[in-house]
Formats: sequence, structure tokens, C-alpha cells
Amino acid sequence: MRLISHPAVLLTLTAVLLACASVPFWGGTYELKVATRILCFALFVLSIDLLIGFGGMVTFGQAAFFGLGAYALFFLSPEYEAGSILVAGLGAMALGALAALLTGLVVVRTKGVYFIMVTLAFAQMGFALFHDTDIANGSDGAFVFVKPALTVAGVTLIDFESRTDLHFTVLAVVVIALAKLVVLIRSPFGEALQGVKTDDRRMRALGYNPYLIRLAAFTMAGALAGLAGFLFASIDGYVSPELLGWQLSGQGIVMAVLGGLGSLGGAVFGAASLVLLEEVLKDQSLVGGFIAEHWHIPLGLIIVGIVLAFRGGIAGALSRLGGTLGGMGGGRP
Amino acid sequence: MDPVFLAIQLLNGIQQGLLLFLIASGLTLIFGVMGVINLAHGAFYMLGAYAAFSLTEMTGDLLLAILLGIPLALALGWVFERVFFRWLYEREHLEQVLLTYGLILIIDESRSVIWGNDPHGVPVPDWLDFSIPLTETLSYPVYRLAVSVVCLALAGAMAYVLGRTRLGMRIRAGEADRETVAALGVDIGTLYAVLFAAGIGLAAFGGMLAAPIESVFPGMGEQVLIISFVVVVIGGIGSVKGAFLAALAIGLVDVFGQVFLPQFASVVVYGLMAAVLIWRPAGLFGRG
Amino acid sequence: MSLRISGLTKRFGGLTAVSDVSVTVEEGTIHAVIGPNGAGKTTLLNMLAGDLVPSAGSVAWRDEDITKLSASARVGRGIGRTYQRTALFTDKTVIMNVAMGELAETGGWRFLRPALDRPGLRGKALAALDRVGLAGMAEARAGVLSHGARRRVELAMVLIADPALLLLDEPLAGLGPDESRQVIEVIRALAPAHTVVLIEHDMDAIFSLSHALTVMDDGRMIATGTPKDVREDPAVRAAYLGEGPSVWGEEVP
Repeated sequence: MRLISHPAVLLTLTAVLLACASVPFWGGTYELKVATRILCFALFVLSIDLLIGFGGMVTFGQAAFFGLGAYALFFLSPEYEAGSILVAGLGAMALGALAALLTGLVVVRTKGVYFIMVTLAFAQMGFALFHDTDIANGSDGAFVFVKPALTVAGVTLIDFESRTDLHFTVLAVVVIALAKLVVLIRSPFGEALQGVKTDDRRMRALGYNPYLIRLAAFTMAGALAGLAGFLFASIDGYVSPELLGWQLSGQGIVMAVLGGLGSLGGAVFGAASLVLLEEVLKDQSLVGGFIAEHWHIPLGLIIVGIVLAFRGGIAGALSRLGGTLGGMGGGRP
Repeated sequence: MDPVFLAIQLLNGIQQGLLLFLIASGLTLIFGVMGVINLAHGAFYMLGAYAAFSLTEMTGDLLLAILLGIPLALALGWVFERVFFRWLYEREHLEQVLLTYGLILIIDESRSVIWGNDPHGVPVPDWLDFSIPLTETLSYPVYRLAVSVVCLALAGAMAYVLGRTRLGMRIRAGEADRETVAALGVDIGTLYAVLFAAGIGLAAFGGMLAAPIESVFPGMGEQVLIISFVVVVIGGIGSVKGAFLAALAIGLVDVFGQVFLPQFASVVVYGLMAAVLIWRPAGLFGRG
Repeated sequence: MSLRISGLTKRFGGLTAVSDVSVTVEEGTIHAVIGPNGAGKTTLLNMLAGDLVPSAGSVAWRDEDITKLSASARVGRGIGRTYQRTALFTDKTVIMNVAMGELAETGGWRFLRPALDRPGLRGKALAALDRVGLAGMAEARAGVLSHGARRRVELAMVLIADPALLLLDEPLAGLGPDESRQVIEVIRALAPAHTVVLIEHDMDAIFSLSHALTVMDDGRMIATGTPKDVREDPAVRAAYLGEGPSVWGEEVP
């Protein structure tokens, strides 16, 4: 099932990541922001793929941890000077992990459709916490006036005020996360997680504790989503409760499925396709004023069409294509 | 605190809970019988409310609007079942989530095309537009009482159908599969379409009843969807009885939460859900 | 040192699936549980493995009361089981399926190295597969195996962890004659180093393998003892007359 090792998937992944890397050299602010957004979402979708694709946990609340990571940037940034990327980034991961661990204690006890509803409900609780109270200006959202930087011995190495710095940092984080996840998925833990997905009673009979394995995966995914949210919030220096909202969780699932679940590389394809699709649908000069204003309608139709028409996502289609092209190096489909 | 004020809140909580039951019972029935998780349930609630708004403007009376709106909602539910949902019965939950998420986008944006994004008030029918005075300053609106009575009557009707008829008992026992239903002389495809239309109808009807109380606004569907999920999770998926008790509990907790902890009312509701899940992971009356 | 089952009972609502079963299985022996379908054999095994909580009674293994231990905790006490319906991880390779049994020792709490790189694991997995005659299929995906091969992988998954007590639910079901013979020899070789409790319908196999038998009918235990005792037990004879003497491995006239 590990489609990332499939040559066609690996080639396309490399091409997409290289394309992202090239944007600062030819694109303007708009292109660069879109590319950075794609990479942040790719990271977010990786956390969803870990849960759905490998753990069989269909989460509809992953945005809560993404949003918490974003708020970590706000909480950990001094008002009039640059905060530390390291402190805020690690803080975002810790906050995401802690929130996931605490809700996970309850959530991973449930399965199937309960899991979907309960993750959604808990995420909405997080949303309500930021939306209905005065924390960080409530529903208005809050600005981070000075973006964080990484300064070692007085020398600023990375400064998120620079869009290019931010972009390459996110790109590096995506590559590292992909590599780490490939290792994780093949490790005994990854095998156990996939075992729990297939048959958790069997796993119990073999002596594993499926509850703890699920909880650990849920916590890791929370940390990863938190990191993604922190980087995302660094693009515009703005956080709002919508970053914890169910719409974003839904978008994440759409990206994960569009890219192909259980393939890791699919997270990047899914994020890129959906973000670019949105940009196209929102572009008046391409689709006309009516559609650009009501772009949710064509987007919804496309999602419905995808569910009814094709399975396996982009990574699946690529590996099938690779298969029909004669194996391309003997990768297993 | 003034006991009359608390009594009013109690009535409000019960009324909110009963309305919530109406909506959540549709959700839990659709899941219990057909195994479909319908994220677009709240969107149909919203459509019901907007339909009540437009039809009331046209006819001048909410009652007429509801009488016209219910057949429309049932027809819409039927069409959606035939066009979209019937392909989902054997599919995984993930695909159901995706498809119904897509439907939310379509329905919600269509609402924006047809009605725009402004909130609207819906007038209570003249003949219900008065309050029962309780003290010199406090009174209780008759419309809310009427809503409670209608919801209770529907709950009673549902209890009768599910508890006293052969088909209803099968449905309640989760045994409405092809063979057992065919043995009662019912075509499963038709049964599913009817049940689906009924579930959607319940959501839309809830929206129509709520329109004068809550007014009509774009995000109303999602709020109701998520709180209905909480109800269904607490009650146990597929259990109408569980949904009834859970809806009342949530209605009361929400109303009194607004009174005592205004900023954290919604958090309290989710806290209740967490507590129930720790105690019973499959809800109060969940199977398995 | 033994497996002591006392008064074990399981009720599902109004139905009593297992009623007051008391048996002692001596360590190092092979003990068969037989009886018609619906007699409660698998329910009994599920309670021994910790997959079901008994309504009454107790289970003690090596003088420790394990009645309330979870299935995974029992694995830690050296108890392993197989299922009547094969439950392989069809997405994984055969060798990874078998390795899962051994990796359980870590609980899955290793994150950095590929699972099969664990020192000695691949060799142990291959050896376990070799015992059931499937070493050649190690790299195949479990989902593509025949039914008989799946049953043998299932056995290898338990064998690799080398449990002191094995609970086998119909290990021969669906196997061809050659496969059966091979698996019978594997099971026979388990004693006296291991203790085995197995459910089986193949009477030839049972009488050639087991040191002791328990006969169940309708949830109750109607006899227990050596194969010879059980064969001559009047209650067993009475209960089984309908099925004819062939059940007992005798020649059918």
C-alpha cells in the first residue's frame, strides 16, 4: 500500500516539490503565497492521512489542532518584536499534541461514525472557545504584528517577515515530515497502527494495546497539524476562530482523499490540486463573475462527482498509470 | 434568582430540547436504518427555515407557509435520496462524509444565490402572537408553547410508529434489511426513499418552526448539525428514545448554561458529551 | 501447574452459551474440546483468551487468577490464540503478519527502524513459517493466499511468540489432506513443551493428537477425561447417537 515508494508517485512528488521550490525565483507575492499555502496544507493533510489512511480513524476535527497551532503563534509572539520560530513552532506542536492527547483520551475510545461525530463536536468546542469568548479578540481574530525569526548568537538566520524565508522553511518542514512519516509507517509502530486499522480485536489477541496505539497516533497527528497551523498563520500574521472550524477539517479530508489516502505523497498532490482549483474557481477572468462569487457550487459538484466517480485519488491513479506503463522499475501497485 | 425567571428558562430549555429532538431524530433514523451519516442534515434545516421565510412573505401566514413547505421538503428529500444518497448505502463512512460535505457547499451557496446573505426575521402568526403574563414584567410567548406541543405530538407519533407497528419495530431493532422488510411486503428501495424523505422533512420542519424564534441566517444549519451530532452521540446512534432524552438534556444544559456561564455555554454542552462517552462509549442507548 | 477452569459461565441476555464448565488442563498436554455446533466451544475459548468476560466462574493459569485480565495482558502471561475465521492483515506481507506476533512484545512502541530490521526477527518469522510449510510464501501479500495457507499463517503468528499455552480454534478447518497432516504434526510436536487447548471437528485428528478431551453440548460440559474414557462414557454415547458412531473415529458399517 505504500504508494510513496511507487516510482510514478515519487517522480510526481519530486516534480511538485521542485515546482514549489522554484516559485520564489519567478513568481510574485500572490504566487508565492499560494505556494506556501499549498505546502502548509500538505503538512496538515499529512496529519489527516496518518489518521485516516494508516489508522482508519476518520477525523472530522483535525482543524482544531491546526487552529490551536495558529493561535500558538499569537500567544507566543511578543507584541512589538519578533518572537522565536523555535519557541513558537515547538509551542504550536506541543499545544496541538496536548489538545489531541486530552481529547484523544475520550475520542479514540469511539469508532466508525461515532469517531467522525465526536471529533467534529470536540473541534467545534475548540472553535466555540475562541469564537464566543474574549480570548485573542474572540470572533474578530487577532494580528501578529511582527512575525517570528530564528536568531542564533545575534545573527538572524531565518526571518518569517521574508516570504521567501518562510516559503523555504515550510518546504523543508514538508520534506522532513514526509521522510519522518515514511520511517514511522514502516516502523513497528506504523505496522501496529495499520494492524489496528485492519482488525483491532486481532491486535489485542496478539498482545497489543489498540487504544494506546490509536491515542499515540492521534497525538502525533495533533502535533503535526499544530505545526502546520503555526506555519500557515505566519503567512499573513493573522489568526481567527475559522482556523479551527469544521469547513477546514472538511477541506483537509477532501485534499487527503483527492491526493490518495495511505500514500503520504498524496497529501502534497491533494493540497496542491484543491488550493489551485480554488484559485481558478475564484478567478473572475477565468470562470466569470457569477461562478467566481459562488465558487462553492462548482467545488461542491466536483467533490460529489469525485466520490461518485473515482477512487484512490491522484496517487492511486498515478500508480495505476505507472502499472500500465510496464511497472516502471518494478514497483508494486 | 427569581423563580418565575427560572421557570421560564426551564420552559425554554424544554422547548429547545424538543425542537432539537425533531431534527436529531431524523439524523439518527437515517443512520440507524440506512447506515448513512448525513452531514447535510443541518443544511436541510436551514432550507426549511428559509422556505418558511419566503412562503410566509408570500402567503402572509407561517401556518400556510409550513403547510406548503412540508410537501416541498419531503419532495426535496426524495429527490436527494434518489439522486445522491442511494449510491452511498454500501459505501464507507468516509465517502458519505465527503459527498455530504460537497452537498453542504452546494446547498449553502445556492441559498446565498437565492436569498443572499442577510439574516431575516419571520413573523409569528397573528393568532399565536401573544404572551401569557406570569408576573408584572415576565411573560411567556404562546408560540414557544405551541412549538413544544407540536414537537411532543410528533414525538408521540414516532413512538407509536416505531413501537406499535410491525415495520416500525423492525426499524427500531435495526433489522430493516432487505429480507425482513420484503417479508412484510415492503420494497426496500421505496422504504429507504420514504424514510430519507421523512428524515429530511423532520429537519426542514424543525427549521420552519425555529424560524420565528431564531430568525433566519446563513450559518444556522451548521450550528444545528453539530449540536444534533452531540445529541445523537449521547443518545446512542440509531436510538430515537436516546435522542429524545439527550435532546432534552442538551436543551436544558444549553439554556441554563447561557444563564449562568454565558461565555462557556457551548463548552458545557460538549463537556456533557465527553462525560457520557467516558461512561458509555456507544452512548446511552447505543447498540454495541 | 495447569490451566484450571472452574464453574465458567457465559450468558448473553436470556441465552446461556456456556454453563458451569469446570476442567483442569495439565501443563504439557493437548486438550481437545469437542461438541456439535452451537455447543459453546468458541465462547469457552473466547473466555480463556480474554475476548469475552465470563458471567460467572474463574480461570486460573499457573496458579494465577486471570479471569479479569484483558486479552493483551494474557498474551503477556504466555497465552496465544488463533481464530476460527482467519483474521490476517491482508494488506501486509505474510512474513510481516507473522512478525506482528513477535513485535507484540514491544507493544509496537518502536518508531525509528523498519519493523523487519529488528535483530533476529526475520529469522524467527521465517522459522515459524517454515514449521507450517510456508517459508516460500514469505514475501507474498497475505490477501492473495488460499484459505488453507491463511490458516497456517494464522498458526505461525501464534507460534512465533512461543506461548506456553496455545488456544486453537479449529486449526484444521478448510485444510486439504496434506495440509492437515502437516499441521497435525506441528501441533503434536508442541507438547510437552507447550500446553494446547483446541477445538476441532476432525475426530481422527483429535483422537490421534489429544491427551484429554472435553465434550460439550448445549453449553454444558457432558464429559471430560482421556479419549478412552470419553469414548466409553454413556452420556456422550447418548448425546451423540444421532450422529452415528463415525463421530468417534470408528468404522462406519
